[in-house]
Amino acid sequence: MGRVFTIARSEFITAVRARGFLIGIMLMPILFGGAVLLQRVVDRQANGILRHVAVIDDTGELYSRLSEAAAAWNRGERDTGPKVTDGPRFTLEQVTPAGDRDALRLALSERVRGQDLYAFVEIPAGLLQGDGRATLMYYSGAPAYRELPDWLQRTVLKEVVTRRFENAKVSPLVVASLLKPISTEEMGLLGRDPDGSVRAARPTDRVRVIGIPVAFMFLLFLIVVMTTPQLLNAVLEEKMSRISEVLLGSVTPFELMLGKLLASTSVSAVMTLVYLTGAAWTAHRWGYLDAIEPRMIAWFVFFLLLSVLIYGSMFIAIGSACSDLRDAQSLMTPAMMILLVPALTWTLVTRAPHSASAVAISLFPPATPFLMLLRLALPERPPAWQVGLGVVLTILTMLIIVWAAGRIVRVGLLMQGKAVRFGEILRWVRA
Amino acid sequence: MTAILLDHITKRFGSHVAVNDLSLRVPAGSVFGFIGPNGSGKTTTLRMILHILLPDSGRIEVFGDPRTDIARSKIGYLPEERGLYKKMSVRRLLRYYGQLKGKPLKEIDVEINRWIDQIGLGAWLDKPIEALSKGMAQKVQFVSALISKPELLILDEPFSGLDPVNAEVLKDAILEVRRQGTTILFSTHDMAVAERMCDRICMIFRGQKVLDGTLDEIQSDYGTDTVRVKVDGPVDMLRSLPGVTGVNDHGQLQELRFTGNPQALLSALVARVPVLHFEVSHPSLHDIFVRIARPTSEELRESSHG
Repeated sequence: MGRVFTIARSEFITAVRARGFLIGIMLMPILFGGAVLLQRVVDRQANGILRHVAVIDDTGELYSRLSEAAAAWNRGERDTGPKVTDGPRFTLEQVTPAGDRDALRLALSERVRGQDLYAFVEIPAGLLQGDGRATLMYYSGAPAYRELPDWLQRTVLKEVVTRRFENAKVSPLVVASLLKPISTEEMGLLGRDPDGSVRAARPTDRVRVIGIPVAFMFLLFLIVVMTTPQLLNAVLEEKMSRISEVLLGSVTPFELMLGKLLASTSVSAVMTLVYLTGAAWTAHRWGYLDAIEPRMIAWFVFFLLLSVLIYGSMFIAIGSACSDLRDAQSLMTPAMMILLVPALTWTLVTRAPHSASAVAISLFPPATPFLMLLRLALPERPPAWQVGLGVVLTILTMLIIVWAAGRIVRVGLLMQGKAVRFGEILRWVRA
Repeated sequence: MTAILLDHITKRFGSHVAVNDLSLRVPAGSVFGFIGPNGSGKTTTLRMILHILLPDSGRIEVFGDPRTDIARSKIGYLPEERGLYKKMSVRRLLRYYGQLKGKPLKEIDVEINRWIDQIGLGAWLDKPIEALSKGMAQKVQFVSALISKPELLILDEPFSGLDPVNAEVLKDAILEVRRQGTTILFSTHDMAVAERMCDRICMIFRGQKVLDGTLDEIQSDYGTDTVRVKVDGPVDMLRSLPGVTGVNDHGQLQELRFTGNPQALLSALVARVPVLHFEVSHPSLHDIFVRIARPTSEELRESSHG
């Protein structure tokens, strides 16, 4: 075992000393944090823009109501929710409908292009005359921005509906009280405590019931993706620069592989420590520390170990079977596809964790560490037999893959020069 | 005492028999030369001694012990195809290779200091391998095989690609570890090196042992059928001399294979051209090698048709 540790220590030092390691480990929080920060900066900048809108009011009556509504909006009073302190501001300009309408529209379009206006809107007279085909026309160069057209539509609609009620001699106040919406409170399920008493349901908190479970799965996924494919490069580099045979003069191929797997596991452990500490700190700041349960950390570490061993052995085997990068690329694709299964199916599992397809895919051993971890973190946990079966199948798969990889490495490391076929690799395993 | 014992070793790769029923004994403390043309099974044999490959049949012992891990910790190995970690410093690399052999760091550092001074690598000790010249890197490679103070040193083509200066440094280093009692087994294509350095020589050809013994023993087996001559005249004429069966022209000197009385040959020669040099001798190792490994006329015909 001494030699295994010597290899593991050297590989670990090489990995953590490499410039890429620090960059890699910082990259995820920087990318995530950066994305959030960028979103905020963009939002703030977008909010700061004064959106000047020209209104062609063919009804002759609605502009003043719109103008009042815009003033209330700019004071932060929202028709959709509580008052806000910052947000986009809308200023309106009334355009008298006269002359050639198309010439007017063209002139206004030019003003939008010249950034003198943000958009312009036509309120057809038919809206107030009960013409079912009358449509509010909104013209802008930035159709992705929804807040302004949505506000215009809501405000005009409110006014038109009020008029309709008045025309039908129904008091809008009565209608408002009759149409008062009801609210829904989303709750989890009730359960029974070990002492037999009924455990009350808790209000659903999306961060708690979806956010944190998915974060656990993706953290595991990210660490596996960041550490195991590197083993392929390391083994291939040793093989291409003819270091492998020197090493094989001192250690068995299996010891060499175990040393590398141990190093990779240690690197993953360091990353886990860094990320979980960071996650715990963030959770504490937002009051979610209690949502990171110790049992989930234990499951995380267990599944991390299994997945590093499975994917690490797989990538070591591929690296040892290939003679150059091009060979490696083509053999790596299927391995990467298998690794991507959880990233492509996690939404299915979160939406219907007990469905037959979610159960089946979470029992597919290469995906089990990720998807069973996710299911264990979701509010309604999988039955014990599924967890047990998943764990047993994954451990068996891990043992088979490590064993097969050992056979492949033994032959592959000494093969030089020729491109290897998949069938040939299978023969090495069976030999 | 025997350093390496190979007892009826056979190794096949598919239908190809790489090593066929090979038996060999390498005495402890000797310099043992392993010669043979490319593809004759030398590297396969060396890998089997190191337990990198396992024989299909037969027995291998290193210092009387058949166990793999014992063999590995006692053997220093320099493979023919060799490389180093480019980003590692010389010191870290040597320590790593030493530790892989199970040596404590203290002992490794003593060896590092000793060799680094001897081969003039002092200033480069903490530089990454990629900063070294090719010659320097080759010397580091050699030291990496010695760093664990092995009892047996196996070198696969140690002199290939070395310039004469570095080859000399390497030769001195090999002789020094030999003086300290290390057994050395090396394969080579350079017959002159094998003749000069080896106590015993073994040649394998097509997976089978064809020569095994001291240089004297091997040469006497081939008799005194060789005459080295230098003449002041056309070389072609030598082929027509009575009893001459072959001429190997070295430019300044010609090696004749002949049957019969050397005196008669000398008389015949003197009668035709002025003779500057005439020496009755054993065939050189080079000559013996070529005689064994030269393709038969049938093989040549096949390869020209194929």
